[in-house]
Order: sequence, then structure tokens, then C-alpha cells
Amino acid sequence: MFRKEMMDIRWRVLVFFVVFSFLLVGTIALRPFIGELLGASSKELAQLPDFLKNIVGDLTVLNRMEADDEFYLLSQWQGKNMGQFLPLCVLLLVFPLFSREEEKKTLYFLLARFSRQEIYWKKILASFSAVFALLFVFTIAAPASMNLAGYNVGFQYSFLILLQQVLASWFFFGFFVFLSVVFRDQIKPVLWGILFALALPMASLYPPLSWMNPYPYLLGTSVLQTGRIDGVYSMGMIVFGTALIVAASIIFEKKEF
Amino acid sequence: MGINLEEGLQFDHVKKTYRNGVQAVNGITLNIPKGCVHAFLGPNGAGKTTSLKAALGFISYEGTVRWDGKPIEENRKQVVFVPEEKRFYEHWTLSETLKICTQMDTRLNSEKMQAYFHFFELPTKKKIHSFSLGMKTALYLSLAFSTEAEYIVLDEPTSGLDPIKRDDVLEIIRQRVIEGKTVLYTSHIIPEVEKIADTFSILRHGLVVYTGNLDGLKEKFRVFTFSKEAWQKQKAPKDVIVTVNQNQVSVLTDSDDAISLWNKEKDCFCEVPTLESFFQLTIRGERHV
Repeated sequence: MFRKEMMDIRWRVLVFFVVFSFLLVGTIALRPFIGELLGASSKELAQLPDFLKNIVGDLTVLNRMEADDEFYLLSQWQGKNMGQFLPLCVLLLVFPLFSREEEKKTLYFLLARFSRQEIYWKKILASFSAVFALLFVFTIAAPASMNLAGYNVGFQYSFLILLQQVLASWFFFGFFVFLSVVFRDQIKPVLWGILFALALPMASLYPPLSWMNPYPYLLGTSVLQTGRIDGVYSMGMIVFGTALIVAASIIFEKKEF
Repeated sequence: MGINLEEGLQFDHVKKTYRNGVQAVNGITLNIPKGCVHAFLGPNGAGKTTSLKAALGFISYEGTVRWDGKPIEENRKQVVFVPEEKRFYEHWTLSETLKICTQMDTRLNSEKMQAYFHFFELPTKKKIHSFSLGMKTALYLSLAFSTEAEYIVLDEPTSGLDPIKRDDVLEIIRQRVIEGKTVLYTSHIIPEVEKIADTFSILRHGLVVYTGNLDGLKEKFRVFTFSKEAWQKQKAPKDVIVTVNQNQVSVLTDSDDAISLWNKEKDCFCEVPTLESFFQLTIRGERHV
């Protein structure tokens, strides 16, 4: 059944593989220009009056990005070009997992052959393996490609951010699997999934709910700032993600088809 | 001789009420012995598919269903199912189906499956989304017939098939029963059921209104046809099912008293029911008990 799930997901994985490959090439190819641009910008911005500097934010980030190839890669690749697409990537890989089988009535083929637990956990394993494989490949590929392009970049922080991104993906994965199990068609899981991905940062604009925005964690901000993993948030991602996966398995076990 | 509850399929007081309040199955109790074709007959909404779904564990229900004395969860490997809606993984080709399904379901015999694909003349390189309904039915049947499962559950298994292939499928089903398999079958096509079923149950409003075999039916039941005027002169006896048509009244009965009374009556016509007429009268008729 694992193979069948891989067959189902292969084209979507391939699309993200191509998209990420283009983005990665672009990120590396633009390094000299971005460096020059940021250098020039930071000099101009340094001459701004203080109140405008406050609006612009921390200029040391720009200076660091200009001077530090590794910081540039981490902030522009995992922290931006790949990172920001992760919720969308997880959503598109996961939303049809159960809802399409139910909508197209192919679920009967599986239900007649396997226990619901077997169906559920094999689908979970296959689809999360695909998410993890994409993340892992493009996390490794980024510093490796930078080194091949003649820059000197380490892997350590990439792996720390990878860990955070895997856990954040697990959280989003759990929610999207939940939607895929609950709804009987394919449209609602996508709409609710997009709404959820947008609602979290919106909710965090209200200060007491600022912790609800998972994007700084997902994009590795704490790793870039402190060089360490955000342990508390990581635990939160594991707990919420797992709780959603378990809840979805209970619903799937009891659902009528 | 008592019924062996460790063998065959047993429905025991099975009830199903959906959340919207629709009572689809209203207390079915049925014993289907091994090694036969048992057909479920009934109009739309009679509870045929719901009964199958309950038996296969797709929906929750009250009562119990046992396959050789075990719940479906413990006996799933002995059951194959062809659903009413024959939709399959539409982006696969037939060769992919063969590879993936034999890898997924170890019961499937790859050579048999290929032979059935060939028999049904299914194109191996075309995607399944380009298949007609009949071809999709043939695909599902190929999957069902390529295992050695003891129970073959078929929900409208000939939908979309041409008459020749339909006869071939009935022949294959017959062959599987000779090999000792048990077939549970639903269909709207009564001549088809008449051709193949050893026993059948007629469902109406979620209840089994008759269960038995065709010979028993022909032996026990008679249909008497009266003109409306002649029927009005009759004293309505018990245990009859009455159907009023435009100019005549058909009465189905297995009551010895009624049969001996009306056999002497000159104003009526007596005949042995066919399955078709029996079904029509059972479903359309009004029961006088």
C-alpha cells in the first residue's frame, strides 16, 4: 500500500521538486547581486534619520547578509524562499489523502481489503515521508550547491533549521490530515487549510496570541538569532501535530463510508 | 437439521438508522449458507447496499454480522467486494493497476488477473479515466475473481456490461460457486438473478419480506388474477398480497386455504409465479394478514 500511496503523490512531489530546484538555483545565482544591492542599501539606510531607521528595522541583518554567505543562504533559502512555501507544500501533498479517496469512492477498494488502522497509518507514513524527503533533500542541496558555486558555507545551522521545519511541517501536516479525514470532498480541506495557514499569523497580531504565529519558528528565526533550537515551541509543534494526527485516526476509525 | 453458525454469513437483527433519521435497514436476520449464490433484490432504497456496507464494516449498525462465525475485522482476507460505484484510480493504467494491486493485496494472483484483463479485452496502456462503465466493472470483477477469497460480494456486478459479457460473468460466478465459494449479490436485473441465484431475499423498506429459493417459491406460491368485479365478490382471505392494476387484481398467496378455494373459482386465472412476477407483486402489493 505504501507503493500505491507513493504513486498517488509522485506528481505533486515532482512539481515541488522542480519549483524548489528553480528557487534554489535562483537563490544561489542572485547571491553576488543581492550582496551588492544590500551593501549599497545598508550604506544609504545608515544615513537616514533615527526615526526612519526605527521604521526600517535592524540594519545589522542587511550588513550580515552582505558579509556572511551562510547567513545569506539560511535567511534567503530556509528562512524565505523554501520556508515560506512549506505550509502550501504540505497542504497540496496532504489534502487529497483521504478526501479524494472518499469523493472518488476508491476508498471502498481499500476498506474492503485492509483494516482502517492499516489504511490510515500507511497513508500517514507515505505522505509524511514525502514531505520529509523534500525538506531533507533541499536542505542538504542548498549548502552543497553554495559550496559547489565557490562559496564557503557550513551545514550545522541548516540542520538545526531543518529540525524546526520538520516539526513545524508535522504540525501543519496534522491539521491538514485532520481536514482531509473530516471532509468528504476535496475543496473544503484546501479552503480550510489556506484559511488556517493565513489565520495563524493574523491571530498573532493580537499581542496575547503572538505565540500562535508559527512562521518565525518555521523560518528558523530563533536559530539565526541565537544559534539554538526553540525547545518550547518544538515541544508545542510535536504535541499539537501528534494530537491532531491521533484525533484524525479516531475519526477515521469511526467514520461511515 | 440446525444451522451451523460457524459457517456462512449470518445477519442477526441488523438495523441501521442514518443520522438524518432515515432507517435504511430495519432488523434483518438472515443466514446465508456457504457455497451458494444469494441475491438481494429490492427497489431503490430498500436497504440492499446498506446491508452489504454493514456486513463489510463500512458503516456502524445495531445487531451483528458474522462471516464464518467471525466479525469482518477478523475475516477480511476471506472477502472481496465489487462496489456499486465502479470508480477506480483513474490516473493509473491497467499495467500499473496490475503491479500496484498485486503488491498491495497478496491474495491477488497476477496471472489470473492478466487473464481476466485479456478476457474482458481491457486495454493495458490506457488510463482508467478513459474506460467506459462496462470496462470499469470488468476491472473490478477481474480484481475480485483473481483471489481465492471464500466470499465474493458483488453490488450490481453487471452494470454497463454488454449482454454477452454479462452472461460470461454469470458463468464465471457459477464456476466460483462450484469451486466452493459463496457469492452475495445485488441486482436490479431479475432475469439475471433468476439465472444465477440459489437463494434470494427480497428487501422492502429495510426489511426482508421473503427469503428462500426459486423452487420453493414455485412450489408454495400461486398468483391468482381476478377482474375487478370478480375480486369485489371475494371475501378477502388472510395471508395474501394484493396488487390492483388498471382492470385486474393480482393476488399472491401461499395459503393452502386460499389456493384450494380459488382453484375451484371460475372467475380467476391461476399461475405459478416467476421471480419477476413474485418480485413485482411483493414490492407493489398490499399485504393482507
